[in-house]
Amino acid sequence: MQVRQRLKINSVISVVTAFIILLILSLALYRLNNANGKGKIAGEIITSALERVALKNDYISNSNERAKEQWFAKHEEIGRLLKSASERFLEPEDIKALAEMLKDNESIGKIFSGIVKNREKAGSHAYSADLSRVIETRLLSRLNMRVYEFVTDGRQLLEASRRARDSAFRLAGAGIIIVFVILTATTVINSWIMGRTITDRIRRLRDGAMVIGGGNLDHKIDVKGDDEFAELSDAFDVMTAKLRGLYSDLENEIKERKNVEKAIVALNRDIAARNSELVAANRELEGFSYSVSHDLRAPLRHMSGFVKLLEQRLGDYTDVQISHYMEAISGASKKMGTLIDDLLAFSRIARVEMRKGKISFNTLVKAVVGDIQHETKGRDIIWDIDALPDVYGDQSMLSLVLANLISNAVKYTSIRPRAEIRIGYKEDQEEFIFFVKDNGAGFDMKYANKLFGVFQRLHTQTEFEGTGIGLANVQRIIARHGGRVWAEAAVGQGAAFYFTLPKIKET
Amino acid sequence: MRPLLIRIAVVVSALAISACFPACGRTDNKPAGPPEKLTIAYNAPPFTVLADIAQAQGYFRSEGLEVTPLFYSSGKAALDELLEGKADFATVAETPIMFAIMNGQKISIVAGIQSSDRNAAIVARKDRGISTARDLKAKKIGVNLGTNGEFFMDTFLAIHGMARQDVTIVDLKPEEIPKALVSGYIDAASAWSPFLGQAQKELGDKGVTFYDEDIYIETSNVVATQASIRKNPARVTKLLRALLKAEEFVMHHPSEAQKIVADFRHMQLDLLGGMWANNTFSVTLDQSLLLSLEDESQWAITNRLTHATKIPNYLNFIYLGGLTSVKPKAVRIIR
Repeated sequence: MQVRQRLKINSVISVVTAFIILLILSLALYRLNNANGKGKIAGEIITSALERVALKNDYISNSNERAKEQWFAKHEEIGRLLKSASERFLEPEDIKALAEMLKDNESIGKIFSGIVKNREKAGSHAYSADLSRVIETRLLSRLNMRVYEFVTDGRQLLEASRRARDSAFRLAGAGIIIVFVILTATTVINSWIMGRTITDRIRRLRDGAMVIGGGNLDHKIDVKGDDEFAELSDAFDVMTAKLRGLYSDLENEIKERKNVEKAIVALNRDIAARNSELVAANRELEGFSYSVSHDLRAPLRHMSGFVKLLEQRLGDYTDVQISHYMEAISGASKKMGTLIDDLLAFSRIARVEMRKGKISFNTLVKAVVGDIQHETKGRDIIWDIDALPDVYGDQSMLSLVLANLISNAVKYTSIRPRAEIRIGYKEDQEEFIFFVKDNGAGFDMKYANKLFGVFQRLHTQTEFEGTGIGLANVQRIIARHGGRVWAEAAVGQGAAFYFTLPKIKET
Repeated sequence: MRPLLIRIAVVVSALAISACFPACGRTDNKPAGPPEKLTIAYNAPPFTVLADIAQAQGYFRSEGLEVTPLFYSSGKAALDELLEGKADFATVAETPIMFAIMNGQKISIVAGIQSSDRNAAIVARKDRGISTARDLKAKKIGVNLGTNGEFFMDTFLAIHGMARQDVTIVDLKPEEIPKALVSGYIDAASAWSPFLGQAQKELGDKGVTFYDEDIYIETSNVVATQASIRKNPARVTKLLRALLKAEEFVMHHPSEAQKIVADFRHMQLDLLGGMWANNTFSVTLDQSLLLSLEDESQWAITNRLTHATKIPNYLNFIYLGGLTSVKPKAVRIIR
């Protein structure tokens, strides 16, 4: 049986006991009230009977009309009391006594009426006086007998009511004692059994828990039965089994993680090696491009030198065609020189060590704009420059970025009678987003991916001059600062170039 | 747990059984030694119902009494047997007892065993012009003198404005009354059951009966000489115990009791059944018995039916010890 059920039984017994006690008390109270009611009526009957005797004596002594009237009134009252008593006294003995009393009372009424009648007609007979006396003596004697019987039976009713009252008290007392004894016995036995069972089972659970706590997850707490302890034991065993499973899973996971860690270490080692290789290859590539650029300059100088020598040899000989060829060779070699310089500069940007510091972007922009004043002479340009924040970076490199973007804006707005160039910025928590917008020629966004490639151009040389290395430099510098570069434009509607710089504080 | 509970139950049961044995023994107590012999002079039923039942049902025997019954038609005759020493106890109405005590007999009532206010009556012949109580005047009334029949007649006449002198009284034995009435020897009779019933039955429509429950309560009592009571009070106790058993039996088995009495006394069952309801069969000693004895004494003195001139103290002629010892509640005499 479950502990909960045992506790429930105890509770039910307590409730039932309380109910039974209440019932017994109610019954006892009811019976006590009934007994008191009976006692009251029996007492009233006896008292009234005695009063009636006194009234009879009163009448006999002086034939008093008042006494006679009162006697009959009292007699009627006794009749009513007897009727009332017959509704309350229901025990066979009491019913019998009441029947006797009713009979006696009836006789008493008749006999007293006989006495009254006898007195009232005394003297109407020859022996009237003597006869009347004899009759009265006879009747009085019979009346007394009936009165004695009546009072004796009345006393029996009174005693019956006392017995009923005593019985009610006994019922209440004995009933409550018996119920208490049963309650106590049941509760003690139930509690004792429960206590013994609980103690034994708790000890087994504790021992089992200690074994499991000691690390033996294969241990089983074997508490049999259908109570909560058996359920707890089962739950313990289920928990132990699950722990065992979890422990095994954990061991496997640890093994797996160790393997992964080993793989990561190997991978990192591989990446580091590849990185070294990459750095070496990059360095090699830069060295190669530098060497190539540098080495290309020698034949280029030769070509320029030979073109000058050829001009000197020709002297005054002028031939339009030859002059054109000579100018073409000279121009081509000059351009090639410019290209090689740009390439070298581009290469240098990637290699040169950055010297980062706090830079006033306001000042830097103003300086750059000032530097290109000579290119804007005669132009109608409206500058719209925001107050710009301080940034952290390499000043010369960022100056190059601004120079490239601003000179591009000046260059591509040359087709407008009034150029509008706006320089501003936005920011979020992580970075500043600078932009340079113009109302220049713009470009088709479908070629935007080519914008930042080396020597990539979206316009012909005749439209706008340039080598196509400037934006490649911008992208490389911004990338070295940890930022991004992009552009938005539309053909004939101007362009906007954006670049970001992280908000890195000087350390 | 279960064995422990069983052990407790066994111990409790053993204790209960061991406690019960002495009590059980008491209830089935058989008197040691041979039964005590005694003679009881009976009058006629219904006066003797309890004694008849005690005899027929063997209650006397179970109390260690071997009773020899002597049957008489009146209690007066039964009392005479007692006074003559031929019986140890007699069952008799209060009137013969009163006369005996007034005449100086040392007897005591040990218990009343019957009472009725409708067992005595005047039965009369209509053809003699009797239809009301007043018509009894100057008529010939048969009665067994010295019995409650005489007292009832006298009282009845007085209540209806007549004196003894207004009628002619004929002394008859109780069993002679029915025949005397039917034959017309008498005009009316003051009788009691069973002779009253016989007379009524034999007269049929020719008869008329005058009852008066208010003027008289007839009682039947067990009496013994004071000497015998003093000599053997235990015998009285045994007798009373047997009578009380009979009372219980009559109370719980009235129909069976009627049949037993009818068989025992060779009576017609319907005759006995007809009078049964008018009687109370209980073993008592009531205060009203004292008053009745005194009233009848006064009547006897007034009518010079006795030589005595003083009402005796009847408390001295009632033996309270016996009934008090076996059923104190039944003793309702003021003490």
